[in-house]
Order: sequence, then structure tokens, then C-alpha cells
Amino acid sequence: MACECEAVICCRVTPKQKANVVSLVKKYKKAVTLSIGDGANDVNMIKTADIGVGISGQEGMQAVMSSDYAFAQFRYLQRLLLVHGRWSYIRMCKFLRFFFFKNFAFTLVHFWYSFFSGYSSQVAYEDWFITLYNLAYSSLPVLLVGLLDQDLNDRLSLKFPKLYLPGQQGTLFNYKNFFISLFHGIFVSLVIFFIPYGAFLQTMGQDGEAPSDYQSFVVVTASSLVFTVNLQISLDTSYWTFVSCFAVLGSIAIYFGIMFDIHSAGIHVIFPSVFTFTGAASNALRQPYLWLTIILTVGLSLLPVVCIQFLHKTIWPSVGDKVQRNRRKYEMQLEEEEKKKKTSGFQRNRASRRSAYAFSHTPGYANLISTGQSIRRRQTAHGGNAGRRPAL
Amino acid sequence: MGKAKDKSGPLARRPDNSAFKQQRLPAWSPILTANTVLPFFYLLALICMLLGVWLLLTVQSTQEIKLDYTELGNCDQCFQLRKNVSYAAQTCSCKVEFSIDRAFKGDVFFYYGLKNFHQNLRRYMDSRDDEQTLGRKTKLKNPSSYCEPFAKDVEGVPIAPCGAVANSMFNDSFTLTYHPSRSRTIPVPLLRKGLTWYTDKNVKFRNPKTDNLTLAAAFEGTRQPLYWQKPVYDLDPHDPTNSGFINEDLIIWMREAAFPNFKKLYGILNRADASFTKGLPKGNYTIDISYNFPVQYFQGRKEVVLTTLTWFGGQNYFLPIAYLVTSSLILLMAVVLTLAWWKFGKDGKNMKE
Repeated sequence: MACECEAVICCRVTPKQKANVVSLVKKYKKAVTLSIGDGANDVNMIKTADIGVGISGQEGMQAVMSSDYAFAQFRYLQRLLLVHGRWSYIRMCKFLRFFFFKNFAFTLVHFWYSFFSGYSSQVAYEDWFITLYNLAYSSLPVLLVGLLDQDLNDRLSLKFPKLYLPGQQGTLFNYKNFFISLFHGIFVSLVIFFIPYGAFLQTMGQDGEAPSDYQSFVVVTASSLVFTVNLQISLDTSYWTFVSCFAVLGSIAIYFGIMFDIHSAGIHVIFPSVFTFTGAASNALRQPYLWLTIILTVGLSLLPVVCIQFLHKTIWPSVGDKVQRNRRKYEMQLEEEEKKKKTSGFQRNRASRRSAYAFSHTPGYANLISTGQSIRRRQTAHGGNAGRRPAL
Repeated sequence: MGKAKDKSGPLARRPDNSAFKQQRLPAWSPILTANTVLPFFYLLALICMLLGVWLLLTVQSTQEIKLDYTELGNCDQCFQLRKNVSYAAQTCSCKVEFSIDRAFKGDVFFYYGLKNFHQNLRRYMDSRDDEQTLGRKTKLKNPSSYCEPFAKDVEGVPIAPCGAVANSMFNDSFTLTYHPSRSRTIPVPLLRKGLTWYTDKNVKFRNPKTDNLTLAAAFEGTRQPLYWQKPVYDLDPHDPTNSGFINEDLIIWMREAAFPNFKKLYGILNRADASFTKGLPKGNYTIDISYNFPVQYFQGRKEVVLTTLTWFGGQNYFLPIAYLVTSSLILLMAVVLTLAWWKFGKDGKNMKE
């Protein structure tokens, strides 16, 4: 019955009962619970809930020490949930989806290549590329998305609590999204393999040399992959700071830097069996033909994504999309409201408001009050008729 | 009680109010609006189409002749001969004729091609020793174990160059002749050097140091690969800079192809010759082939390709057609998006809350 209500108030509950209420909700509603409190009696409840928030201040630091998040005033809970909680959910989902996508795109190229390499599990990239791909060439931009991305700024997030709904409903990462990432990865791997395959099939370089050799093919697929993956994360980023630009361009630059180093003459002479791709990058990337292949591959991988995103935003815009579209209008409204607030002078005194009250005692003393046993009868020597008041 | 309060005041442990830590970095938040996406798609379709047309015209200007000579004409006898391993030492030559309708203007490149030969098989590609072909003396007599079973012969003598890749080197040779009239024949000179990458010829493949010895002496103590007819230092008897590991045919063969059907460069027309300064004139030609490489074991085919090149490469229609197809797809997408926007999103119809 409690679940039918908007809000339920439990008063005079013991700490154990507080924790029991939380675990009841957790168990039967299968919901994610958050509890907030500031005293030692709230510790149990804070620990039971999925997210525990402690308020530091008047009642001491016990609640803070056992909580996941701690702040000083109760009203900051709104910011925690609507701004940081929402951002965190969106960032996490973007990060996960992108990570699955880039690894599927990377790995499945080998699957397509196996049809043409006699099923001998020959790799479609250089060994060093495989080592460094997840380490250096594609990890920094997505890490920054996971840390810094904001689809709407904090004031708009506070103004529209409805934006919090996707987090509660789990719409941004579920089985369906995972399979979408998978199919996206499959599609991109098809493009990254088959466009260079077709281009290499009958080709010759402009000087006639080394047409369609394995090392040039590998350089082309690896370069297309790095470009595609980094440009895809930049399409996914909704908050472009200079740090994220730097990460994307830096990843691409690191890829080319390391590749030219590994393919150089000097390193081959020192470690001939380890670095066998001498001259591959410089000779392959000299051919305008191969650059045109890379451009076509990257374009074909990214344009469907842009198209689908645009269609989604046009035909089925989410609340977030709508707010984003009319961002300027709302921000101007917010600024006007703030100006009005500043001009209205009277401010309540905010000193020392209590944020929560803590009671803690076992049941049983209440009847002392209700039966009147705690009231002392005055002795007649101290004023005789004290028990009898004159009728008024 | 938690950490002791910092001496410098009650607000000492407050996090920095910097833009980075408070997530207030200056940023740009682009959104996909119709004003940006739709013109972009139309422009891109136009660019792709122009590019495709340009590339198509460039490719059209190349000329190519392909001949599958596995069983062509009297090469069929050689094909039957090569089916039997015991006749491997016997030479066999055959002739193939073709004619050119339009003269090949410019540089002409002569390739041999193989079909269904998987040079990209993993175990095959691993079966080589790059240190040996770099000319390291220690590795010359002691090839790496990756070359097994082509590292040492039955007597235990090391093989140079070791490995399956070198062992299976293509050994057909071709001589091209031009017949301007019924009685006259002019041999077509082909440049058989300058075919490889600079890094391949000068860095990746080096002969072991000779120190005033002949090349043959530098390779002493090693034997040629099992399927070869000549030792490695004799690959080009006329030119010591093309013998040993730095022989251009060997280098070209050792650069493995990515797919089972591939072409490798055999020679470039020598336009210094008076008759061929402008390229290959039109007329009848014959190729004399010394037929050695057996292909029936893997159901392969052999072919010869003569082609002219442009900056874009040879006659490969894939990329121009791919660009044209892409441009039409982009145009289609752009039209679909325009319709969707017109119906749903124009004037912010879908943006009401």
C-alpha cells in the first residue's frame, strides 16, 4: 500500500526500522534506493541503501563516514541527483556503448579476412597495432567523454527534472543498446575490410611497385580504423572542450607517429624479427589511391550514424533533445529569473537551520506519558487544593 | 572522527574552484540541426560524384591486356608436364601470342599474376627469417626455427634463404617479342631492376658482408632452397648488385600479397630502345615463357598482365564506382532526411513540450 503513495512518512522509527524500510523497498520493488541522513541513527539506513548520502554538520560525522556521498546541506541532494547523477549515467552509458563498438569494429575485421586467408587466423593488422590500439590509439578520447561530457549544463538540468527519467528507466544502456553497438561494430568492420579489399584487388601503385601487398593493406585498414573510431567518438561527444579536441587529434597523431617509427629503417636494423614492417607506412601512404580509399572507408562508416541520429532527433526527439534544441531560449529565461531574484532584497536568515532530527529510543516510554504515571501528585501540605482548580 | 582539520582554516579542504575541477571548461556543444546536416549531405553527394567521375575518366585512360597462360596454346603441354614431380628438372617452354589494337602510350608495366595462391596464410607468412635476409652472419648458418621444415636440408646444411616463402619463389621467365610485320621480329627490352621499394632493396634485404670475397664465397656453408634450380648468389649472373638476397625478383616475391589473387611486377618497358620510346606500338606480340611454376596442386591459375599506369594506379574500376555509388546513396539519404525534416521537424513542430 505504501507504494501507491507519493510519499510516506515514518516517524519515531528506530535505526533498525529505518534500515528495514529501505531493504523492504529494495527487495520488493527491485528499485535503486538512496537514503540521506545526518546522525548516528541514520548509519544503518545509509549502509543498507544502494546509495548512501551523509550530511556533515550538527549531528557529527558518523553518517558521513559510512556514506558514499557527503555534503553539508540537505538541499544539495537536488544537485547531486539531477546534475551529477544524470551526467554520470549519461557518461557511463556513452563510454560503455562506444567501448563495445570500437572493439567489435576492430576484432571482426579478422573474421572477414579469414575467408580470404585460408582460415589460417592471419591477423589483419600489424601485431604492434593490436597491442597499442586499446592502449594508446583509441582510449584517451573515450576516457575524457566518461569524465567530462555534459549534454546539458547544470542550470538546465536543475530546471527540467524530467531529464532525470532516462536514468531511472535505464533507457540509455540495456540489451537493445548493446545489440545496436554490436551491429554498428559489425557494419563498420564490414566497411573497413571490404572497401580496402575491393580497392586492393586489382590495383597497382602509381609507380607500378608492390601492388596489393599485405603490409600496405594492413596499413590502410589500421589507418581507416583509427580515423573512424576517433571521429565516431567526436560525433558522440556533446561537450567539446579543448581537452577532448586535444585527445582526439592526439590519438591520431600518436598513431601516425608510432607507426612511422615502427616502420622506419632504423628500428628494423636493431630488431629485425620484431619490427618487420620496414617501409610499409611510408611507401603505402605515398599513394594518393590509398588515401582516397581511406577517405571513402571513413566516410562510409560515419555517414549512416549521422543520418540515423538526425532521423531520431527529428522524428522521435527525447526530452533532452528538445531542451538542447531550445537551449538558448531557456538560458535566457534563467538569466532573467536570476536577475529578478537578486533585485528582491528580503532574505531570510539562514543561520543554523536544523536539517534533520534524530530520535532514538526503544518503544515503551510513551505509555508513561499517556497514562499520566509520570505526573507527580503534589502533596496536600504544599497547597492542599492544588489538584482542584476553581471552575472558570 | 575523521581527518584532523587543516591548520589553515575551516575551508582548507574545499576542492579547487578551477574550471576543470568544477566542470565549467569553456566548451562548444554542437547539435545536429537541419541547417547544418542537410546542406552538408547534399554537398558531400556532389563532391563524391565529381570525384567518382574524375577517377572514372582517369581509369578509362589506362590500357590493360591480361592473358591467362596456364593452359593456353602450347603451354598446355608444359602444364601436363609439370603435373609430374619427377620431371621437375626438365625445362619446358611455350609461346603465347596476343595483339594490341591501340598503342600503349607511356610507361608499360609487365606483371605476372597468380590466382588462388594464399600468400597470406599465417604459417606461410611466419616461415621466413628476416635477420638472415638482413645479412646477419650468425643467422646465415643458423636460421630461425620459424623456417622449419625449410631451415636445413636432409644433410643438415642450412638453407639460405630459409623458409616456405623463399622456397616457393615464382620461377617462370618471360621474353616479349614484337612482330611489326610477318617477317620481322623485334625483342621488347624489359628493365628488370628498379622494381622494388627503396627500403626493401637497401634496408630490409642485404647480402652478407663479402670483405673482398665473391658473393658465392660469402654464402659458403649454405645451400639453396629445395625447390630452386639455382643458388641464391647466382640469381642474376650478369649483375652482382642484383644477386644474393638483394635480387629484385626475390624481394618482390618475399613481399607477400594480401589476397589469394595477386599480381607482382616482373619488368618495366625499357623506353630507351629506339622502337619503344613512346610505349608499345600496336600490332602482334608473342611471349616466350619458360614454364616452371606448377599451379595445379592448389587449383591455381597463372597470368600475364601488361598495363599502363596513371597517378591513380592501373585499371581498377572499384574505387571510382564505389565513389559514384556512395554519392548516390548519400543523395538518397539526404532526400530521405529532407522529407523527414519537412514532415516532422520544420518550424520546430516536434520541439513542443
